[in-house]
Amino acid sequence: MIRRVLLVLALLAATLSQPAFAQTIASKVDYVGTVRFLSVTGLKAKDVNGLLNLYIEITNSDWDDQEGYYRIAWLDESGFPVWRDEAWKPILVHGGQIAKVLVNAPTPKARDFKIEVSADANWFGSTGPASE
Amino acid sequence: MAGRPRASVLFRHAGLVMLTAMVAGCAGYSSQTAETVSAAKAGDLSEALALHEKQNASADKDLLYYLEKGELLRLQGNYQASRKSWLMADNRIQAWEDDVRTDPSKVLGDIGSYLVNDTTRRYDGRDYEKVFLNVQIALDHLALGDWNDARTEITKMHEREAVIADYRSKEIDAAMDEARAKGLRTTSYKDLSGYPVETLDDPAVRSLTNSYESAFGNYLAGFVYEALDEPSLAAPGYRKAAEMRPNVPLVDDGLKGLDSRLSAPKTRDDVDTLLVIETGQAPAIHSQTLPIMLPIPGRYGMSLVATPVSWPVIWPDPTNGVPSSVTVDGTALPVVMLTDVNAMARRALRDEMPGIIVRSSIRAITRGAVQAGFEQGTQNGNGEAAAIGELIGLITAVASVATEVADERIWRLLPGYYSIARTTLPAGTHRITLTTQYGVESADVPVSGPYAVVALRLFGPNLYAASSAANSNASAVAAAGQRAATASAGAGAAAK
Amino acid sequence: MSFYKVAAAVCISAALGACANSTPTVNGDVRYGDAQAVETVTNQFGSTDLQTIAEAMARSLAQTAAGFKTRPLVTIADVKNKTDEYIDTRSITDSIRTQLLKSGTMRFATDIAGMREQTDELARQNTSGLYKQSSVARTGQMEAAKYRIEGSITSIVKRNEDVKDVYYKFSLIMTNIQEGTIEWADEKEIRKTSPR
Repeated sequence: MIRRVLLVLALLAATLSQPAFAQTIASKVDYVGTVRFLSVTGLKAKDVNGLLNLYIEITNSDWDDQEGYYRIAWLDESGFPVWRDEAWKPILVHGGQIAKVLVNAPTPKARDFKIEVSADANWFGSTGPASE
Repeated sequence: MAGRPRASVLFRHAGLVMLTAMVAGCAGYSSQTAETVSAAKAGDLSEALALHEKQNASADKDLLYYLEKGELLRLQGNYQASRKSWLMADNRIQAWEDDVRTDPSKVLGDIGSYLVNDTTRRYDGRDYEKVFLNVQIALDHLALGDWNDARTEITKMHEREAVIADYRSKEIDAAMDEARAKGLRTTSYKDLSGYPVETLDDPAVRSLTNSYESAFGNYLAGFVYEALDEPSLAAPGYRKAAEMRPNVPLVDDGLKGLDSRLSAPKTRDDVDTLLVIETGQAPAIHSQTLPIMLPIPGRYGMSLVATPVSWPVIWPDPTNGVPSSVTVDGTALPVVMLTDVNAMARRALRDEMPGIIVRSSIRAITRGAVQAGFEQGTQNGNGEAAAIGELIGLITAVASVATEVADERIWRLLPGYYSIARTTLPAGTHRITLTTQYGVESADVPVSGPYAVVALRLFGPNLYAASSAANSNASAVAAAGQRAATASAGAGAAAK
Repeated sequence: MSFYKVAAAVCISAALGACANSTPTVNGDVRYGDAQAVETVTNQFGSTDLQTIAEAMARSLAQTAAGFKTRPLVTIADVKNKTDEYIDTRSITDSIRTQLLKSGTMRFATDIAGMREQTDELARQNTSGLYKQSSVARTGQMEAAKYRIEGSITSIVKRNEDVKDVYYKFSLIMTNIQEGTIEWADEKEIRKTSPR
């Protein structure tokens, strides 16, 4: 497990030379509430024709299907947002599945990012992103 | 099994109870509105309006007041006032929608209010009436040239249909649960002996998907969206209309020709004209008293009592007054009937019957039980005398249910049939002629703009016409084609 | 929850005086929600579907356009609604266009829907004689699009006693107008299931 994280980090470091880029997956992900089953376990980033591409793996550690939500905040080198709030996107992850999500940045200005992840099963101090 | 023989005793007396019911009948909505309707039918609209106001003298106006008044004003050609009245009605339906959305149990709770007769419950409108209110308001907007407002009204119609769909599924479940809890056996109109089952089992009624989505509403939506150059919204309107009225070339062309019509260059001289032909009127609801077997608790256990209850009945319309063609400047165009309001009303009743049966039954049982309990204290003779005493108590109780009339409230002045014809006309005034049972009716109607809706309403021996000018606020109203010569003979034939 | 109700009641009772709870609101039952939240009120086509489709399409187009040497000039034609739901596809294409314009990866020529206003305005400037000649937009100078984007949305609806399942497929293609070749295509699928 540790080796895998290190591999990912190595890839991140290799593909992105931005100084703002941080060193762990955790630092790139904001969870809404306290994670129970759905968490980001893999993350790769790559520059394609000037647009940042992300490959995200979301793992469901439960045996039941879990409904989650994610969105990405796109930032510039200084960590300042370059795109308006994205819509939350629903994702269904089957029991034990590792869901793979490929997203690309909306604009070449985006040089950094922060992933927001929420899930129905998370423990919340307040309400989650789902409107119901 | 003490209840068994007693039940047979009660059967013998059922006739007596029936009689009581027949003698004491009070006026339902049908008879209350009869005068207004006949005045309107005769074309005396100001008299009809005056009668309508007289009938609704109290300050607290209900939904039906605004529904009927809106149509009377529309016939008068007073589209502004008609729209205003209908928007008042719409407010009331929106209040219902809000209740349904935020707290369905509040509305569903009505089922529990079984001690109250249906006629004293707030009238929320039947499902198809709620939707046709949007249609009628849209037609008013069009008559006033407000295409964008008509579009808004059509959007409201789609949303309303979704609310109704959601609510009905919940309501039927709730009625069934209530029936099970009370041990009711009869929840279907098919089990009511003597009920004119054929009125609700009619293929025309059963073939409808539900009681509120209409082919006409969808076609009109398609036309309005097309006129506003919104093909992605026009397409489903035409598609749904074609699904509801399959294999009709005129309806199929709505969708098939949509892209070519929209991509064709628009000239100001060619007006794509939709002729809306409204004929007849929405049906009345009649009360019919029939016995239903109900388990009524008494001193000697449950008795199955044949309890007469007044049930609502809608008869099919024997005179389908839809003309087969409409003539524009001497050229006959085929008329396609899209929506039969009578069938929709029967469909609505068919869907409401389980709820009505459950409510009426529970009301009858409760009254019967109360009465039986009341009698207990005075009983001290032998079994037979006690049974007779209880029987009398029951008769009094159930009679009070039977003397009620069924809920006859229904929007009477809504057209009975919506039909359409469609053609391209040069801009200008055109003579439109319809052959009816009363003779030949015609009106001169101006059309303009790339798209126009001409609403033609045949009511009694009169033809009322309104034309929309595309995206202009000028209303073009053709005077009603009044005629009287053969009216009396025609009316005699129509009376059936 | 009840605390807020009490607070609201206190505010109302203090109507004319200063209200202790000083959020800039007039109390009522209406609340503003998160426009970006996942909407699962009904299983009809909804705001989340519109947002995810528009976003997926715009991102995919932007990625393709980023590979072009110059920013392509495109026009958006209609997206045909082949479902029997009232879906305003122009609202989706508007969102796609807005996102692409904001990202700076594509340029857009006036589409068919906006063409009448455009030509009317041009004609007005040139024929009315009201405008200073030097400021009048000249006719014959409009730039023609090199690519055309069009598409369709279809749905498959299945239902049984318990479940309603809706599947939407939104497809978009970009055609090189001069060469008639399809340069890009993508689709976004959405599946929604709900108890009936």
